[in-house]
Amino acid sequence: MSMSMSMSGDTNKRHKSGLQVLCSSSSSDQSSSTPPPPTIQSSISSLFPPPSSDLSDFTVEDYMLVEVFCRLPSIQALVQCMCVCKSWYRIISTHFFVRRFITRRHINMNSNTKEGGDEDNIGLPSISNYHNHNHPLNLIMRCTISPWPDTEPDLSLRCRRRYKYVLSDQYLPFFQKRMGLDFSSYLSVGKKDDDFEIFAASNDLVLCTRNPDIDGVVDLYLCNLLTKQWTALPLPLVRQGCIRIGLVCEPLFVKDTTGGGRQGGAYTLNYQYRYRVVFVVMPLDQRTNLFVDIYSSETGKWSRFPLADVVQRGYGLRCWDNIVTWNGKLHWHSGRDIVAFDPFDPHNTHFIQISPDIWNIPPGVPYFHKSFSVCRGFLRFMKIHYRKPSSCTLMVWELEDSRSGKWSLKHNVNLTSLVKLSKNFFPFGLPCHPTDPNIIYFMDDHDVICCNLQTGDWKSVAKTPHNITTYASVRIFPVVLPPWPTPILPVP
Amino acid sequence: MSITTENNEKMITLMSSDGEEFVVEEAVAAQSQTIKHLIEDGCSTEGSIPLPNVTGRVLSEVIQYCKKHSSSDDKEEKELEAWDAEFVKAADDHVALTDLMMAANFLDIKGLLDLVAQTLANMITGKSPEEVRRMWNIKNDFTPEEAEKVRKENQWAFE
Repeated sequence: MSMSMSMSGDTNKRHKSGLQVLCSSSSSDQSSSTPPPPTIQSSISSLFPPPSSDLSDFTVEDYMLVEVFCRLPSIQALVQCMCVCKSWYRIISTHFFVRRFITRRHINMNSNTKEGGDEDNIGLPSISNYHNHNHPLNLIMRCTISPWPDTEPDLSLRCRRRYKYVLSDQYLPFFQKRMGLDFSSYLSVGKKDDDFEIFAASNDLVLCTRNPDIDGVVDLYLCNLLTKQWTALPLPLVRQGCIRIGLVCEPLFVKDTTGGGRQGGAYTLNYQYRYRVVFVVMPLDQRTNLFVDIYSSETGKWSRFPLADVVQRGYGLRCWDNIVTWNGKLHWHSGRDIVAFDPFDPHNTHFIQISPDIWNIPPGVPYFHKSFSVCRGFLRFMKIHYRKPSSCTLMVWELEDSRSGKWSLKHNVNLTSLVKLSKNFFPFGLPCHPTDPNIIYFMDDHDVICCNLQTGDWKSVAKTPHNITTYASVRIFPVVLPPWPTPILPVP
Repeated sequence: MSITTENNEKMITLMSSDGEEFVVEEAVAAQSQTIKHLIEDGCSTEGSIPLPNVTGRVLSEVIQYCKKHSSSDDKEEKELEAWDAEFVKAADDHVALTDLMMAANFLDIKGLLDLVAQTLANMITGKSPEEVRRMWNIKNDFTPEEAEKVRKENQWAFE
């Protein structure tokens, strides 16, 4: 299964007008005049209040309401309360309140002794009985179907792909409700039959384009799946070829150093919050050098960084490896070790060792899967060895020390002794649960299986329309809804 | 005034804003951090502790809660939870709950504040703004233009 994003065709045929800046609106009229770029106020709105702390007119009743609003189960419930009356609106749109709210969430997320499942109950409801799920995880699965046979002589036709996003009601109740299966209705642009392609996801943000097949990347959008805010980004320097794309956002919350006092361990909004979009452009042959194009949210511009100076070891990124964001850096396996690329400071890029014993596939294993993901802030490497018919080993390592490259084996189980695998099983693992180290996801035929390796409980939590092996490629985007919606910064 | 019971439990008197007096064991009253500090500072040795922000009706409920929570240990967590649920149900009116919460805040009883705040939050969860206004008797003071603006800005939360 290839996980590459290959594009071919003539970029300049369409959309010569270039960039359209479109801000969040319900208008689907594409031909209307381009609105001006959103200002910070209009795009960030009351959910990103300035850090002024004018609480002089707060009454005791207001403070009591803060305590009540802090305990609402979701941002939606909170926003509905904003619409009740002016004073509620004012309370919720203070920085004081946002700080209280996110600090409470952080405390709840980090405590193992949570009383109930009342917090953040928007993710994966069907498995919430397995463990305390304080941190919702949703996965968008993009399955590529090639409508043309491999024998089709016209390469541009063969490269045309159809994207399907798997959003079952159990798996992604949230996005299905919000967007349906049709991305175009969500984005309010384009024709109904437009294809949308997701390139990367980070917390509640997705980076996507439309009609990527023929024209390469003709436009680029950054969208918040929760608030539906979105903006168009300037076009990348390279729009076609073998590109891997990453989205790296700084944390939206930082430990509050100004608050002090009894609010120890408080979190506050990061007003310097910034992000990078990274296009890793892979060489088509040994002579071309690997380079990256980086979009900076502060400058609104793309810049190029030759990665060959830094990544001399190995051949760089191979198209079937997944690229994972961890600690503000992009990580991929270079063939020898793991490249930790820092898009905020490319010269700070370094390497993390991973022993060949961990990385390599032993002889005699015909089918396997490898992937990186992040759990509880730790980088994890998952490997599945599948020898038919009854031996399927799943191993999960966690990086203990990135300096020494020390990995510790967290799980080593024979899946067949835990789960009744179907005869159509093909090893394909999904990202780990972001907070529960014992929960893993993998595909089996049409099913997304969620398995708790500690208790041995497992169940199918979603279905794909087809067997996993029938897709030309599958990419998974974990969407972890943060305690507060990430704002879409306006393009400078 | 300081009274001692048969099992040598020290008693103290709390006086509500409307002049009602409650004689409780010190351990019960000390569930309130505010009262605990007053006792530690020696404010209770003579006469009763006046609580000018709490009415007798509310104070009797607070004392009920403190009595229950000072006599139960951790093993009875389940039972205590059920008791808490019944306790807030008895005050099933947001005005009474708000009074209780204000008292819990003033007296600094974290458990009670948590309990009441969560109960109030549960009451408004899943309700439309209109339903919340009706339930808690809140006037919609947005002008039609403001209401439209707020609604538009937050349309996503209503879908």
